[in-house]
Amino acid sequence: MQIYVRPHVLARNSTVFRDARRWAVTAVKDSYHGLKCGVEIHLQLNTKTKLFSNSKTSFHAAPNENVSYFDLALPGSQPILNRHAVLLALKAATALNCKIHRRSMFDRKHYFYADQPAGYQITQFYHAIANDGILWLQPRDGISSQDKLGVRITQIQIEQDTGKSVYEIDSDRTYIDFNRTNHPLIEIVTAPDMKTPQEAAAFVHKLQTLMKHLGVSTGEFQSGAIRVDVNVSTNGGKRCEIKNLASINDIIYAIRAEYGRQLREVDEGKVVESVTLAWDGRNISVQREKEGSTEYRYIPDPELPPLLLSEDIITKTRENQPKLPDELIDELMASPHGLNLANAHTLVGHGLVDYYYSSYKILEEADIKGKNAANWIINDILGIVPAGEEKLLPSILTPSRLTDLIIAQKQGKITKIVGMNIIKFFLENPEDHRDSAQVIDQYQLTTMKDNSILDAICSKVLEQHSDLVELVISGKKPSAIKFFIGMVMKNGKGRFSPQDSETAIRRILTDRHPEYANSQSDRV
Amino acid sequence: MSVSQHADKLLKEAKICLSNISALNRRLNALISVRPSESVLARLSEMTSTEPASPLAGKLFAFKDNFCTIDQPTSCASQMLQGYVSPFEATVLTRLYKIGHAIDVGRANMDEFAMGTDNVFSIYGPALNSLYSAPHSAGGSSGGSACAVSAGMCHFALGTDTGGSVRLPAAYCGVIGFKPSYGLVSRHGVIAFAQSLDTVGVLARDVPTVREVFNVISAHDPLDPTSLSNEVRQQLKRNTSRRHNERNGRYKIGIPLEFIVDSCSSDITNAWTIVLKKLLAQGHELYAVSMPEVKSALPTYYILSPSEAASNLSRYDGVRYGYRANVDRDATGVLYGVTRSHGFGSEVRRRILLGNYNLSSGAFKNHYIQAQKVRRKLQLAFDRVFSVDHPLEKPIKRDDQPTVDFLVTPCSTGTAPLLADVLSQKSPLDSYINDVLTVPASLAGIPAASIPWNTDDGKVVGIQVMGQYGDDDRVLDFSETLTRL
Repeated sequence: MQIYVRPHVLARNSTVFRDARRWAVTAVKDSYHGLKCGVEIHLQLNTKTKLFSNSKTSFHAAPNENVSYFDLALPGSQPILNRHAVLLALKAATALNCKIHRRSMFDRKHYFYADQPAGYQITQFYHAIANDGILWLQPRDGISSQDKLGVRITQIQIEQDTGKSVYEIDSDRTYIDFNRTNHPLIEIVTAPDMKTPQEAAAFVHKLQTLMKHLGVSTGEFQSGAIRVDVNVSTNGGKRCEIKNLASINDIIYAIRAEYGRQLREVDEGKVVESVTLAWDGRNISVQREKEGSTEYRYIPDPELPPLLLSEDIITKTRENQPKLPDELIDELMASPHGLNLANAHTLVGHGLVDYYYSSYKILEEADIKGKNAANWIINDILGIVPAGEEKLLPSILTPSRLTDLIIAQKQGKITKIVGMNIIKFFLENPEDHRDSAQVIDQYQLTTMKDNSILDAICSKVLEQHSDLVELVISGKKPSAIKFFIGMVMKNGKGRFSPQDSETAIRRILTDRHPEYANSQSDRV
Repeated sequence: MSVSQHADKLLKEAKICLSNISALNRRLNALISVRPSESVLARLSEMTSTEPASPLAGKLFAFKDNFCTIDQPTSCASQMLQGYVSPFEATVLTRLYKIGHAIDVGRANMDEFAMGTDNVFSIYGPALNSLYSAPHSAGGSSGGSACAVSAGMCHFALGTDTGGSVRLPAAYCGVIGFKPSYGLVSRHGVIAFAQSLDTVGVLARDVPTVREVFNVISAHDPLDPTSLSNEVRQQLKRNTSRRHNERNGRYKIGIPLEFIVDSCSSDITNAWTIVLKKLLAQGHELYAVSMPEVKSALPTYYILSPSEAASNLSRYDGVRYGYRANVDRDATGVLYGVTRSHGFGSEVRRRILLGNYNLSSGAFKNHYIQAQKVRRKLQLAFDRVFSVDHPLEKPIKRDDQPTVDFLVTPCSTGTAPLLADVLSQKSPLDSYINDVLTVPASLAGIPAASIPWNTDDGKVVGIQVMGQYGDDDRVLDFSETLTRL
């Protein structure tokens, strides 16, 4: 087992969260008078198979590996609706407080493009599955106002994703990958209820967290699981659409840039025309004039039957809806947990709230403060879990394994370093199902009290770093003692507690260099 | 009959079919690809070595070129799909091979993408009518299928019927053409023209053969989203056996007044009259019924079917399969323009244009939406006329007019026209009018059959029988009655 030296790790998601708070700050400085934003979000649904075929959905397959006859629009192939996709759309619509329609329909939207094999996309244009929802934003979500802000959801519709065109550099060839073709999506459209870039960003971030929490979508920008278009209008003027914003920061900066562009147009005496815009990370540019003139020739799909939902499934989805992030964060921040907002966000964001609660309960029953579990999980463990695999944590490092280690550490049986090493061992060996106590016993990891071995290790460390010893004794760099403690713990493979190590080092230094004892007493 | 006697009979019949193919197909152009005789006979000896597994075992059939097969190209008689070999097989073919143990003799000619009424819009050239020595239309779009059956090249053939494409060629060629209720026969692997109307149909020289084929191919298919569930099929079966007991072979026949159209030739109206008189003489009851909605059927059909077709045919871009022009963009930069204008024939291009116009935002509400409403009214009109309820709809209140078991009408406005007359037609609308008698049943999704009637002066006319949705078995019963008049 290798020694793990832990850098101070902030759970990954909290970077986004810190951004959210910064948005709130910038909002104070900037004025966005007359700005109105609405968003259109495409979310890839977390299903095993595609929307209308049996081929698998995946992000990591070789090009055109997961493609069925229907995905390729082969003649004679037909769509068969994936019920799981409908169920996920239903969960999303329920969480967004939408009016869910017992009868909805699928329509075809036509346009020719190489990555659109049928020449049309199956979507819900005339009769979508849900309308008229609302998502409430709170001040802690990163909006500037002190009141809640309700963002109205105009529509949620189920639709197919397109394939991907891959352009070869220095060539006129385009390659097409149909793996993404027919991946289920929901499109969520809001009313123009957001009045600053920060509010739009906060909305998207909150929606991401919510959908991830419900298992509806991974909500990741990087993989394209979420794609965001923003509509911007100023002072009641025409609205312009910024397409395909790739991160929360892009949303903020693109809206800010577009707001500036629209104000300048008006200043120059022009009228803002309805256009489609692109954001390249620095500049906003007009992509296509006259939005709205595109002729999509919508037609109800002539062979897909209406999507009928029973009252029962709608009711059950509502009843089985888990606690939503807002409620969980309130709980975690309240007594007895008393977590700060960032930590509460981290647990909710990674879906680890139940995991924490289970561990909390076991610890409390063992008369140890349950909150220790949160500290271990957030500050230590998440730093060594590979990104994206956080959800697997509870099944590998089960609450009983985790709490056994915390209890052992609190009782002085093992050091925290050993504890973390064991956790790392568990994560690297998911097939190993032994409990924590067995591993501690088998590898003899209990904290050692053998002073002769400790002294030998300390002496060796001090000999190897005689130059540093000099600095410590002379009082030029007393803090170097911490380095010695670290090295002793490393060489002792974590078997000696930091307290014991420090005591031994100081004792040896004092023994060998009486002047050191004096400098210590001076300090005191 | 012993196994060997039965085998001998089948072998004799097969040899006649094969010799008819080699003697006639060059002139009639019914089959566009023919399975070699040795292959057919080898399969036949396999099928007949044991007790027949099905009434169809060892029977020969042809199928329209819009059914996907995995061993030969499927082209829809279009340059657009030249050389395209499907990786999967149409469910109906699989059922005919695996459950029916039938043997195919080849692919039948058709109008390109099933759009046409005379089988003249085909890259393989027109299929001709075997009943006439001078070139006459075989009817369309399943012209090759009707001709192959009529010329004795096979026991039966599969076609598809969107607005009459099985019934009209059957009427012209003097064979039975049956369009089952929509949703009974799987369309999986059948290349779509207009899915809300497309129906796989059967052509044969006698009703029992049609029924045997229908029994094999009518089954739920999980791969077809419009395939009727097993529960509904059970319900239909129960309805049928109950109605058998109630009627006892005496039927109430409706004569829908709106099917009396000016364009009908005297051959047709005379034959219709004679058939009705004979039915009356046999003890069936005749009623005049009125369905004013039928008058709107033709325009409705010519709005809905091209709209669906324009959508379905959007996939033919040359990127993944089929024909592809040398350039992807034309001079104005329009993507796929060259491929699509070269790959599709004139009639297909015309219907795509018509469909796209109907779907454009300016026309959609006035055309497509209105047409859907009219279609719904037409369906209700049929429900009011039939004595039995539509099994998938709520029972309706019927007005005062009498209700009937079946409607009997002509199937076409005339007998098979001369090919030269077809080719010299000034307007495509001339051929669209041929569909006036067949599209009502298509729009309503109800079962309909064309039964050949030989006139005293040696002509063949198609008499059409229509029944309530799901009443397919009784439509076939009554069709058999008609063949025995």
